Amino acid sequence: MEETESLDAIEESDPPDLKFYGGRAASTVPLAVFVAWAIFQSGVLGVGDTQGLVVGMLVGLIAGLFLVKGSWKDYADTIFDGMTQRVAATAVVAWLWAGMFANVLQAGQFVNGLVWAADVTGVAGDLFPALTFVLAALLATGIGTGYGTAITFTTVVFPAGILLGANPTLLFAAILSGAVFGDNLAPVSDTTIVSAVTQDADIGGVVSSRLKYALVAAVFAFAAYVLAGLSMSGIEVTGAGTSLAEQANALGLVHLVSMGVVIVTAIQGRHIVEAVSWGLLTAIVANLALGLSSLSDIIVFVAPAETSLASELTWLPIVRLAGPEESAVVGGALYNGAVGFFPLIVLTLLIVAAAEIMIRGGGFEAILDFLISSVATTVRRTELTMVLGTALVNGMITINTAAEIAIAPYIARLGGRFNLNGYRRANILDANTSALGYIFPWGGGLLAGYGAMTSLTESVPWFTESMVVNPVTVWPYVFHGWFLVAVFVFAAWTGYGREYVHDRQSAEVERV
Amino acid sequence: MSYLSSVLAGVGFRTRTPAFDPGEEVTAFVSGVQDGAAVIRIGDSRLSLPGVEDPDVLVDERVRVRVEEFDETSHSGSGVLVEVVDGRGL
Repeated sequence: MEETESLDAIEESDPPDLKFYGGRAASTVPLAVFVAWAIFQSGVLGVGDTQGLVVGMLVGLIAGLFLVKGSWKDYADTIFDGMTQRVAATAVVAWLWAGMFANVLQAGQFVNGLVWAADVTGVAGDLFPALTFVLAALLATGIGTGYGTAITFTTVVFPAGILLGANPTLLFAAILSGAVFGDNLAPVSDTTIVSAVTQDADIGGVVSSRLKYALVAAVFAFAAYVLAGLSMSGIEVTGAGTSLAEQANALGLVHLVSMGVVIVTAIQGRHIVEAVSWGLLTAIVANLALGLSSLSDIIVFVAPAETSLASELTWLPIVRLAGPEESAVVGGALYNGAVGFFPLIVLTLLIVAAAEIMIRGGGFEAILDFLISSVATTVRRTELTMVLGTALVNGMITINTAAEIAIAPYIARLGGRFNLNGYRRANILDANTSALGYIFPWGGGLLAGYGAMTSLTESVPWFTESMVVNPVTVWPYVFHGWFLVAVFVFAAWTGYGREYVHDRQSAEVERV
Repeated sequence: MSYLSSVLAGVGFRTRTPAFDPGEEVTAFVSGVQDGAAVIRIGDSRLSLPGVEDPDVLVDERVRVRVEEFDETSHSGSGVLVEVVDGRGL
């Protein structure tokens, strides 16, 4: 009888804390090993291979194991708990769907449509990054996923910009800046919702109260992209299909409708999976109806020639036999779009597992305890701590929504003890989460765009490995991210936008 | 509140040390306990609530208080507890 009771008690209790030789700080070892590996691999050696980073994270997780005091099983269970968090699954879903959608748009000559539009309107390569920033910001605000925007724009707008003579690093950074803007401002963005709910504020009020920060940063960012665009040159592109005249095709712009379908359905409150699926269907129908791509460009089964059954099915538009030098594979835009993200998905799941180890091992708490007790002693210092603490946590937990959830209770407590109101706390939390998730070279948003870019070497004939932008070189140019952080540092220092609880009470969140 | 006013709310620079008039009622979170009295920090201004029994349980709760006195040079004052707003603490 007693044994049954104790078993029940165990099941109902919180997950076990992890104890490490070396104290709470040792729980940061798995992530620290990974960050050191990432810096060595991509920063020092310039190797951008995501699968290499996966091995780095695995090595980090194994290294941490040897420092565990007591049961190693708890450590192993924590890895499972971390990997099965809903936010991780949300990011995975966003990447897979956005990857498929973006690749179908690309197969449907959307790039060529953009080249045509730029040619007709006279937008040259030097202004292209600034324009891309605005368009990416609009898409991200409409669909609410910065990751999806980074993937879609890198797949379709990035190659068009390179052809028009835009600087690749600046252009990639402009796309990421647009994603930051949307993640920060969109009412349907995960990070917006988390920021409002955790700070006990209504979503509508949170969004309208953050315009005063977001628009200031965006104006500076736009100007910076114009100036940088004029001073940073493009790269020489040679090979088949690189002549602008050959590339321009007005019909490709039909995919503005495909994107419109995603934006409208998302704004209507449909789930992002549903919204993107509708956009995907629209894009496929448009491709086939207007002859922009064949069905086999979208999905194709390349069967081995010796299979007799396959040779009887070649009348199907999606089946063909492999040539003599060709291997039997599945291909097409749907396939490439989804498969391109597999390494990143595995990496991300492992990173959130390592972050969970740090949370249960107390490393995270130790850092925040230090900040609360010794740094946050006045309202100005508290707001600066909230800005920098959010930045720090985003550097450690690279899916920005997961980072935001982890730090949200501390932001509530820190800000609440100085009676900063819910809107102000939600804004500090979300702006810095949105920004830093696309600035750190190992951030999920940046890696999502990078994943899409590496898959261009498969799908765009003239796009070579040497044109892929190294994530480590991008961070200085994510201007909207930097300006957003700067606006909040300024706001904390000067009191710009500061509101206390008694100034204006946030309406209660409508809990579902 | 209209949409425009919710966009414009907070535009401007707010002081680190807000001031209060005696008799004014304010809603705030209780920040901590000092010398046996609950203390509310609103920015770098302080309101103490002497005479509250067991002030520790009030920490992080949302309360309404009536300001009794407030000194604008030291940015501190005192008030009395009017009510605890249930369910909306930190």
